[in-house]
Amino acid sequence: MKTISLLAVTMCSFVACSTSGTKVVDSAAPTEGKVIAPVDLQAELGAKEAKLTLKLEEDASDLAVTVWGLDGLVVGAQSSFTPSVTKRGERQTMVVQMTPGPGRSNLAVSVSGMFNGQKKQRVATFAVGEGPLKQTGDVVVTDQGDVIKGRQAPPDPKPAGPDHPTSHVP
Amino acid sequence: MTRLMVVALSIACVMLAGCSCLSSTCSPSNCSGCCDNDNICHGGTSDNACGSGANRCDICGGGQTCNGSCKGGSSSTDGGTVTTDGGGVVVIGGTDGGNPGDKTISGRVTYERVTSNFTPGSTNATLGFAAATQKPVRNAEVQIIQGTSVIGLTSTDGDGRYSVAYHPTGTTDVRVYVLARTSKPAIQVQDNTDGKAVYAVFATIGTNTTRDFAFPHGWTGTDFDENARYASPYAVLDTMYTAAQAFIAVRPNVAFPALKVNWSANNVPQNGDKTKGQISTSHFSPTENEIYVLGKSGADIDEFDDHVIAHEWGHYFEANLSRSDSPGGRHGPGDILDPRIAFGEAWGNALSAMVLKNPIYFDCTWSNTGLGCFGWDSETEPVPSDDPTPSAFSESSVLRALYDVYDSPSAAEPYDGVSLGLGPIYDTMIGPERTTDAVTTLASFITGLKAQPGVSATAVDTLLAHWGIGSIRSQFGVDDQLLSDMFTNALTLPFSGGIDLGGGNLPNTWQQNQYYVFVGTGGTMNIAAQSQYDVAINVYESGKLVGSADKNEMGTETIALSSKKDVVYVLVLTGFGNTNGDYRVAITIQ
Repeated sequence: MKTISLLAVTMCSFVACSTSGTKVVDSAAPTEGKVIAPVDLQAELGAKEAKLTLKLEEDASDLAVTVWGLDGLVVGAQSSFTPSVTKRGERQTMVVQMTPGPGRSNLAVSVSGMFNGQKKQRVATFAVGEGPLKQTGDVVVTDQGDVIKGRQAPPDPKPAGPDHPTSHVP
Repeated sequence: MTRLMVVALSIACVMLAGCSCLSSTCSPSNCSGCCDNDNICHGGTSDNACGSGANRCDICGGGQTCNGSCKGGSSSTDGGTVTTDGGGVVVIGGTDGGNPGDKTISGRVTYERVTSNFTPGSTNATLGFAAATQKPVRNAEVQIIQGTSVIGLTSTDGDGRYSVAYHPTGTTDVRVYVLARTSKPAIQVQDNTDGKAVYAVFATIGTNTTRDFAFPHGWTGTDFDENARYASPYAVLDTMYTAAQAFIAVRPNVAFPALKVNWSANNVPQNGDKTKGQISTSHFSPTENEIYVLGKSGADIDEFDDHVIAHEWGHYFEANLSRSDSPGGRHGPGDILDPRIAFGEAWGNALSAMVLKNPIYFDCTWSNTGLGCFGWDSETEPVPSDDPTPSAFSESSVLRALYDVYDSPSAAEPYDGVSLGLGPIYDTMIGPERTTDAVTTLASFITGLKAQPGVSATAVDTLLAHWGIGSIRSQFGVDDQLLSDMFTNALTLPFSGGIDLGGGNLPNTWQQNQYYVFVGTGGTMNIAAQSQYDVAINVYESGKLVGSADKNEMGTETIALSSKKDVVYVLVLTGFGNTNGDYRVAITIQ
């Protein structure tokens, strides 16, 4: 029954599910979100590898999967895959070698392809490890009860004109 | 100050009798003091939170003190006084004039706005950080804070300028804070990974009488310098503010409920714990009535994807001022959707084009080769078409029909003789679309639109025909064959029928849904759906769920409905059959 299935997926998203010491993370879509490719992505995260399972929710062609690391995570030599699945409901599993970064890091996955005649992409991340989130600014509670996350301003600029291009150089 | 103070404050509040700290319903029934703009009850005797009877708290400035209300000193409305506009929205003093305290600080607040060079068909579009422009931070709250006391308060004007008087005491540093929060309407951008604190940038005033702020985007060419990434929450705020102002411009009395938008540089496209940034994707959460926006560099950021932001604001609009019966779920151009989600998503996309006055939607995200953008033109269908199956079940068809209802006539579009602007669209959405007996689809919208003054039904029909949609003549889709076929007439009771749903499709598609319209008898009505696959049945009365059954993987789902006599109900049948091919579902209503 779908209610039970959804509950199981949600629980696995929050806790380490004990399948051979790996953590299973699902990338379910929210209720009202933006356009993304109709694919389900699930990752079984081990210490040195991630087993990615892609499930098509629509027929697809020209599928391409790329992976990369964030926050210090480094992926192995193979960072791109060309799935052979094309039909709705089909699944394919890919194994990604990786070296996690210190603390919390992220494995990023992009799936792109043609769905119903349209090119669509989905990007998902999977957190590896634990650690505090990076924050900029300090939280202040005013006497009025406002909870404010304040950051020191950059230097006072020269007076700015209306809507003119900036000279910002990356 | 640390987050420990938040906890301490919450505990202290819970211990106070009559204090509804975590409630959103600060009212005379639970607060004898005053309510702040987060609906937190205060005792009402402090100069910083003064008032009684659950009225909005005032800050006593200009030499005033709290004695039931702010008394003495100046009677000016400027200089940090907080009043209410009668609608529960905090109104803060103007940016000029009024009676100052001992000191005044003024300046201008801007942020770097980034956009994309995306055009339909382009394959190498990205965000143009190097071509960023300075935009004013409009209507943003500016607070003068000494320690934790707010001693001055104003908001920026339409050009980002502010001027505020304040009266410092003691020698503690005085700071000027620019909050990512507007007052008209009330919108705030907060960090869901940091206690939902409102973003702000501050500077110590010292002996200065002017202080400008310019918030950079922080892009270094390959990544963000997070320590220099200031503009993001203000970009999100400004797009939301633009959307709201577009409607206020045509319907000045519109009252938008307070909106909280959660953005964080930690917000990643992963499902899970939102306090850890795992928000799945940018979305509106109907259960929380809040918006979440991605911000993770290297994965997906949406703060500059203004159509994405406005699209989610459109869902907020539906939930708070209109109505959405959309089942949600994955969707996109080319899909053949349940017409409820086709309308809801098309509404969000069309609204983004209308309020931003730009029909080119773009969304930029990363791959392993860098940041790229995709999108579409809400006005013009490309060649080859991106809408292979035009209908009221296609969000692309509905998007372009809605945008044509709004936009100005063009010689290039002889089929488009409709140019209504936002006003009649707003009136339709808050009127007949909200109260329809059917479910919210293009049928309910068009039927309601045609009833608005000055709308030519013939011109609307011509426009719809161009986008492959019939001449809709009722909220149940009469005269559009596909839409009317969605609504099975079950007015004659007992009703016994059946339908073949399309297995293997997502549950939010046309293939997996069917509606049955019946009228209540005034007694208990027994409704059943039987199938060898998993199905769900839900009964709605003008959008309100009044009966639901979804217990079994297969077999029969039943509802015993205590019906109201002569009231119209819509039974929505949804299938979850996951094997490709048709499967039969039998429906009985008696």
